[in-house]
This record gives sequence, C-alpha cells and structure tokens, in this order.
Amino acid sequence: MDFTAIGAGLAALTGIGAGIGIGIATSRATDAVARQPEASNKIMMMLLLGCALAEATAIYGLVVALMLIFAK
Amino acid sequence: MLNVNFNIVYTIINILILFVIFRVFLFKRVDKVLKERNDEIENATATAEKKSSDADAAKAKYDADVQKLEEEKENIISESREKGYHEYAQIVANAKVEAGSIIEDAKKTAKLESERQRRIYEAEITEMVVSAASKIAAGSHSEQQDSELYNRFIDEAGDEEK
Amino acid sequence: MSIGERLNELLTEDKTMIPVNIGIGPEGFFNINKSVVYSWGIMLVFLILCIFLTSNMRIHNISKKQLIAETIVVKLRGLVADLLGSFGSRYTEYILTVLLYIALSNLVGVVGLVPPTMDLNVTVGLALMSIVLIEAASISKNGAGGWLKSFTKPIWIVTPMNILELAIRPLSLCMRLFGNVLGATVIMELIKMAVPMFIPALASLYFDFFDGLIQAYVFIFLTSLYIKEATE
Repeated sequence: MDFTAIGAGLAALTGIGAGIGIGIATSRATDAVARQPEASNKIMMMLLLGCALAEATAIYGLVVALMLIFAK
Repeated sequence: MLNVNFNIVYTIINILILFVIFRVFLFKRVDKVLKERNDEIENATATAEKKSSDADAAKAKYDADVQKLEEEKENIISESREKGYHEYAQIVANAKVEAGSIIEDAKKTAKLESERQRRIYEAEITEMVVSAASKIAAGSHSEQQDSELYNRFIDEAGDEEK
Repeated sequence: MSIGERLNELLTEDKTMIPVNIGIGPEGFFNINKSVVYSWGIMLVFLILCIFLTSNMRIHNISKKQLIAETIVVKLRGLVADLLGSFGSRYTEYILTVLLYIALSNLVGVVGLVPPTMDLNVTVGLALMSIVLIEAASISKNGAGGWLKSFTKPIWIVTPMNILELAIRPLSLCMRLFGNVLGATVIMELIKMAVPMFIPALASLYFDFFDGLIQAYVFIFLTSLYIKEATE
C-alpha cells in the first residue's frame, strides 16, 4: 500500500499552526490599531512581516507534501 | 525538484556581479550627484553665513563710527561753548578795561577842561579886575592902595574859585 | 492535461538549459540551469535600467529619470537603514542588491516564466551568502575571538544551539523563499487550470506581486536582523 498521500495530507496540517498564528497576530494588531490608530501604518507593516514569518511553517508543510508526492 | 548542484556557485557569482553592477551604475553615480549637491548646498550656506557675519561686522563698525562721530560732535560743541564763554568773558573784561580807560580819559578831559575853564575864568576875572582897577585908578588912589586892593581881590577870587 | 500532470511537469521537469560537461564530478553537475539563465536576463534588465536611469546625471535642472533614480536610491537606503544598525550600514548596498534581485525574480512569474527563486540552487546560494555575510560581519566587528565567544552567549549551555543556528538560519531562509515561490506558483497553476478567466489575474496580484515582494522583504529583513544582532 502506498501511504504517500496520507503523509502528504499530514504534512499539510502544518497549515493549522500557521492559521492560528496569523489569527493571533491579526487579533493583536486589530487591538493595537483600535488603541493607537495613528500607528496603524507601522502596525500594518509589522503584521505583514509577522504573517509572512508565520506563513513559513505552512509553506514548509506544503513543500514537504509536494516533495512526498513528486520527489521520489 | 530538490537536486542541488553547481548552480549554487553560478548564483553566487551572479549576485556578486549584480552587486558590482548596482554599485557602479546606480549607487556610486547617484551618491556622487547627491554628495555634490550636498557640498554645493553646504558651500552656499557657508558663503551666506560668511556674508551675513561680514554684514554684521560692517554694521558694528558703522555703529562704532557713528558713536565716535557723536562723541566728537559733543566734544566740539562743549569745546566751542567753553571757548565762547571764554571769549565772552574776555570781551566783557576788555570792555570793562576799555570802559575804565574811557572813564579815566573822560575824567582827565573833564579835569583839563575844568582847568582850562578856570584859566579862562581867571583870565576873565583878571581882566575884570584890571578893568575895575583901571576904573578905580581913574580916581585918586595911590599906587600902593591899588596893588593892595588888587592882590586882595585876586586872593578872594581864587578862594572863591576853589 | 489534468492538474496532476501539469504539476508533475512543473515540479519534476529537467531544469537544465545549457549543458556543461567538463569531465569531472557527477553527471550534469556543472549544467547551467534555467534559473541561472533567467538571472542573467534579470541582471541585464537591471544593468540597462541602471545605465538608463543614471546616464547624464546633473546637479541642477534634473530630469525625471534622474529624479526617479535618486528617489529609488534614497528610499531603498531608508528602508534598510533602521534594520541594519550603525555598524551594519556598510552592507546596505549588498542587502539592497539581494532585495532587488529577489523582488524582480519573484515578479518574473507575472509574464509566465518560471521564477528563478523557484530553483532551490538560487535560494541556497542566497542563503549561503547571507550566513557568510552575517558571520563575516560578526568577525569584523568583534574579531575572531569575539566571534567564537559569541557562541557561548547568553550562557555556555546554549552553545550547541548557537552552532546549530549556523545551519538552521540559512536553511530557514532558503526554504522559506523557495517554498513561498513554489507554493505561489503551484497555486497559481491550480487556479489557472480551474478558472481560466479573470480570477488568475486577481490571484496573480496577490501571489506574484504582494507575496513576492513581501518574501523579498522578509529575506533581507531577517538577514539584516541577524547582521544587526551579530554586530551589536
């Protein structure tokens, strides 16, 4: 039996972590903007950066999944 | 998909070449222009500052000159005032002296005049006396009587005059 | 062509463009990949752009293109000035070179080409240069002794972690960039196959422009952060 697809699916679960992380970051950023609307530009920049970093885990999962399927 | 090979080195060489390209054709050229412009602005600022300080110095010098002239004027005025005062005093003194001399002269003249008047008077009186004596002499009188009378008369007249 | 076939073609294709055989090493080890050839194109574009923008520079009465060039340089320098710190500012030009290269590489996907950053060789090369630069900065700031000592900070027990970081940092840098570009390209392919009209253009706006530029910025952001940390 070939369990590669299941492995790839499990690897894609990294998206959960990234989703939670980005969600927390966004909620904090919303709070911050509500408190200090004048700093919204800086907060936006930090949020984008944080999202890009948090997204990386999901990307790792994607890479692993694709590798499992195609890089044999 | 994941095969890694010598392309890493090619990539590194590419990046280094790109770095040189950016350095030579973008950063250095732009920086040069920016620096030149900055220098020019700094030069202009320095020149303007120098001019401003020069102007300040000239103004200070001018003010000092004005001050000096003012003082000089003050000096001259007070000097001339003093001088005028002196002259005035001199003139007054001169006038006083002159007036004194004039008065003296006048006194002298008056004295001389009175002398002269007295002489004239004396002469007139003498004449009168002589004429009176001659009138008396026309009568019968001795020489001695005449002379006595005559002298007494003169003495009296002189006493009266004095 | 099904989605699976398309992906298979995209991911497992032979990237070799110019075969180079000098007789040593494994088979095809010195072959020049597509990504490197595309990089030459990108370099050529930058070279022409730079020469065009900076030709005929004047101090007064500047032309529009000179204004653009000056604005670009000043803005880019301002972008990384805070990240690098006072000592690291000497590496500004290299960091900007990497930023512009990755940004244009990621944008190549817009015109339908395969981005050079989708080749692991390119991202590994970039990450290797980054880690070498980070350690070189640390050595030139603290001296070789200070650099070695910095592995025992904050306490001696974390020394293995610090040594591991030498490998983890470039690995995370290169895999992040590679994975993002790969993911974006794959998802774009999927969207193109599923919905051929309009949506790919909108998605391309996000995946190619936004994500590409953000990833370029993240790459230099992390590199600058490491340099700043190493030279403080």
